[in-house]
Amino acid sequence: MKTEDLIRALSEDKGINPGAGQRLALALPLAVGVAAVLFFATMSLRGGLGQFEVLRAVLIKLAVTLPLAFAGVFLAWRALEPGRSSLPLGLLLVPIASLAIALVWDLARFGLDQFSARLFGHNYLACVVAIPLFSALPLVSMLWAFRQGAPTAPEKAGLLAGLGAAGLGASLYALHCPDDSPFFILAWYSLSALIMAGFGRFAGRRLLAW
Amino acid sequence: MRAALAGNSAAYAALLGELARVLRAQVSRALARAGRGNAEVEDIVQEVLLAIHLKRDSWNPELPFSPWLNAVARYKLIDSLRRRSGGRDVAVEDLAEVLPAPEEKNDDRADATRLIARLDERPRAIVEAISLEGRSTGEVAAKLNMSEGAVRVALHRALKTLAKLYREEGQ
Repeated sequence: MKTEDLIRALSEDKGINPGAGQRLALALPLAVGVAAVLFFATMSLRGGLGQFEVLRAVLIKLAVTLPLAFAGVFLAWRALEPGRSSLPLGLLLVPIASLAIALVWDLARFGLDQFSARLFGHNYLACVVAIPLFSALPLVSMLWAFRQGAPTAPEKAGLLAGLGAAGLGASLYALHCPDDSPFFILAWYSLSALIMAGFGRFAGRRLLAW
Repeated sequence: MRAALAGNSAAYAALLGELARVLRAQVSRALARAGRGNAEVEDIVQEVLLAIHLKRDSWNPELPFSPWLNAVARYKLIDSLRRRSGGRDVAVEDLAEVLPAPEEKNDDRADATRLIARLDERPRAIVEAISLEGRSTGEVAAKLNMSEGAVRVALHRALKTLAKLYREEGQ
């Protein structure tokens, strides 16, 4: 086939794929909704949310996880458009800064007292299982939507989507998580996020390349 | 590209033709640098054009066109060259660099023709009628006894399949 013949076929084709934005607007809320149902089916909201101390602890976690969710989803989304100026990766510093402040504050209050108990908490295993579990569907929904985009760095786009999904899943788990030490968050939330980032990167290479 | 997105086929065909010329020169330079022959130039050009076409909605018309185009072309060129060099003997073509950017040659067309042959019967008939015989979607619809909408959908799907077949080649 000559190139001019191909061009003729291309110029006759008016079909435009459903945009990544359309798909994302449909699929991501749905995925988060299903993950929330899954959360309430398997775990309960944490008791004592009316108490200041408990509420504060939950809000501190959300101050880390929600910015991570936003940064990951937004950056992955931006990575779909070829030729845009470089990604504002500094957004990822927001959750890191939140966590750093919490760590300093915690150290100032308690020092290294009972460090190991604070680090491992009641149930670190539940954390590293639950967060990826609640993140899985949001990640799948993003990958499905992002296949319509044109990421020139598919692995990076997948990795960022994985981080965003982990932020969403972690925000759900934070509503249950009984372990409040920032060191717990640093170790286990981060590990979960890295697991999801790894999945996202791997899936991005296979699913987002075009 | 703005005219094309607004549905102006002639403007779009002109744009793609222009792009094909620029790409052809770029691709042969890239192949020459890699010490490979010119045999694949047209295949790669077609693959890049197909990608530009299928991803054209990822360009935001409020932004300038050329950064988008350059990013897409670079991504597809690198992807295509890397894939094609894998597991294949590099053709020693010492003269490649002094050869002029080639006009299209007959023997460059093996790949696309082979890939089109792998389409199902009906999409293949549609693609061939439009590309080789230069028919419009309306004429093809009448000839194949389909609605024009169905022909358009089938054409779009066939082009997506073609892009996928390109990607799978040599993997």
